[in-house]
Amino acid sequence: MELNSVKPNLQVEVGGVRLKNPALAASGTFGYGEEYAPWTDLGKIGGIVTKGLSWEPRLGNPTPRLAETPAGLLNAIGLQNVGVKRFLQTKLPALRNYDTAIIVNIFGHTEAEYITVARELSLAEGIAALELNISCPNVTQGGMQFGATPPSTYQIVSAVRQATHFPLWVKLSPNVADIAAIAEAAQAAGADALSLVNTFLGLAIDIRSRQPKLANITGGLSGPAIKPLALRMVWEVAKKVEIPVVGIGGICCAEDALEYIIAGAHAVEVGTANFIDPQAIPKIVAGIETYLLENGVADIHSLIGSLKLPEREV
Amino acid sequence: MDMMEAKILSLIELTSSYFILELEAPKVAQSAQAGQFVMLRCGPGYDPLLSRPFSIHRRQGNRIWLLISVVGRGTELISLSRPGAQLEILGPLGKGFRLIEPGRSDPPAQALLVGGGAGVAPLLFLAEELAGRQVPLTVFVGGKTSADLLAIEEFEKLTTKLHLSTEDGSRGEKGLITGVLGDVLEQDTGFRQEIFSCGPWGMLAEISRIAEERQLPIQVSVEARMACGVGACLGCVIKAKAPEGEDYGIGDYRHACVCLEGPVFEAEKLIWN
Repeated sequence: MELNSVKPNLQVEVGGVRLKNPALAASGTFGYGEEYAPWTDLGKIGGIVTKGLSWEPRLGNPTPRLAETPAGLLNAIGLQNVGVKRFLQTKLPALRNYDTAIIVNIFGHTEAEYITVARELSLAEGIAALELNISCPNVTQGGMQFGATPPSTYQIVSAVRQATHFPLWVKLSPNVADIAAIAEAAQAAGADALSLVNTFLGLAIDIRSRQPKLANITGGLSGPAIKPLALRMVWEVAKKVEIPVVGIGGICCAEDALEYIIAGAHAVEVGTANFIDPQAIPKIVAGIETYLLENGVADIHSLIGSLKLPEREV
Repeated sequence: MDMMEAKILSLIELTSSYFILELEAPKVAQSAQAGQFVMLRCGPGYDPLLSRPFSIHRRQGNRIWLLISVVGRGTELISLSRPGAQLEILGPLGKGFRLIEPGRSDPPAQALLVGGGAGVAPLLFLAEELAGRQVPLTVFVGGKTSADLLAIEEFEKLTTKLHLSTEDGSRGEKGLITGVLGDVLEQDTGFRQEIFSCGPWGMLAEISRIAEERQLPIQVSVEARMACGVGACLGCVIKAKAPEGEDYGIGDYRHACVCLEGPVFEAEKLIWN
């Protein structure tokens, strides 16, 4: 067997974006990329989805913003960000020095703000795609309500679709009744890819003070604790839509990423694991490559959606 | 560049609440500056999930020491580690203390180090650095009880000017260390004094007020819950004054990452109320 002599193909194309490998850094967990440059090789990462960007800078929520839960992290950062102007002046030029795809996560308080942000970014060079955040659980205005129902999803995605020539990824919330219906609405409105899921709305209480552990009261749960929940949603959605799906939720190692790919994801975004180990993504990429080699899979595409279901008696 | 494995060389229990962890961590030890910190995993597995931030207490050669207060499950798990075991570590991180250049000023400089409880952690490293530069030191250590007065013997090796206080009067002066500092500042020393402090927020706020009153420069090391330690998650922010001339478009303060802009700040740049 000469399997080990041939490097398997890890390149994938996700909604018009060619990625050198299928492991990206998830928005909100990797800053604007440069924060991790001293601690990991950004060139080994398939793509970086930058922190959710609004037209104006945002202060974000009061503290405490973090609460650790069993194998999970509850956060309510509140989309603190530098705003489009400073992003284009300082953050994007710095990130463009690295050989990785740059996907810019955007949000607005209103449909008009989403459109303004998308238009302004569309004048910039070096952006591979926009990821539309219609799923942040931690802001009162904007965010999650845009992605709460199929009609509202269709409305916002259509509006932003017309405002940009960039590939448009839409990031979905798990805090909905039927995520596949939302996914279909986003596809119908012109999304090039779907990324899912954002965090699960959660609550943690300090029993001594009887107060919520977060200043925002509720927060979004991420980390290994949510992986089976998110994986089920990715599987459901990938079966329903034609456009590529990017799997997100508790991915910490290559095995986790492979589960998502087998469930139907073309790529994955790694989030909370970056906090534990800045090298998490390069390790995941290496682990996927090893798996492909060991299993004689020449191209990762043969793995996407290859889930074998048990035959059912009729 | 990698998340590093640090070998536990020793773990010394000081009291039921505090212990000192000695780690072999060459990269951290060789490049660390006083006031910087490390992120340390609590052990293998995903529960607890996150690393914990600790100021570097001392360093020598390839070794660092962390002074750790047992405050929850994570620190308790670390306290149960055995010498010889490995823990993952990231660092050195953040911005440390700006050191005094001796002989540069007239009158000569004197450093006043004020620590509360486990807040002495970064101050011993700082004291050793300053002593190495022949900067005269006065050290203030306060705590609730005598069991909370830490690193006293180490400070005694570096200065004869050591002031202690406890809230219950079990050792040193009875009362808060801020009161002792105020009394000492009443005396005219002939030095150009600069304050360095670490401890609970209330203590730091009071010392910053005292320093502002006397127009003394002061640097404080602040504590915060963190997830990433590198400025990415924005979980550890505190309120800082927005720099003049820079339009953040969001009022007169901003949220600064303790992990990246700090943990050491010029006190005047923070919002204390």
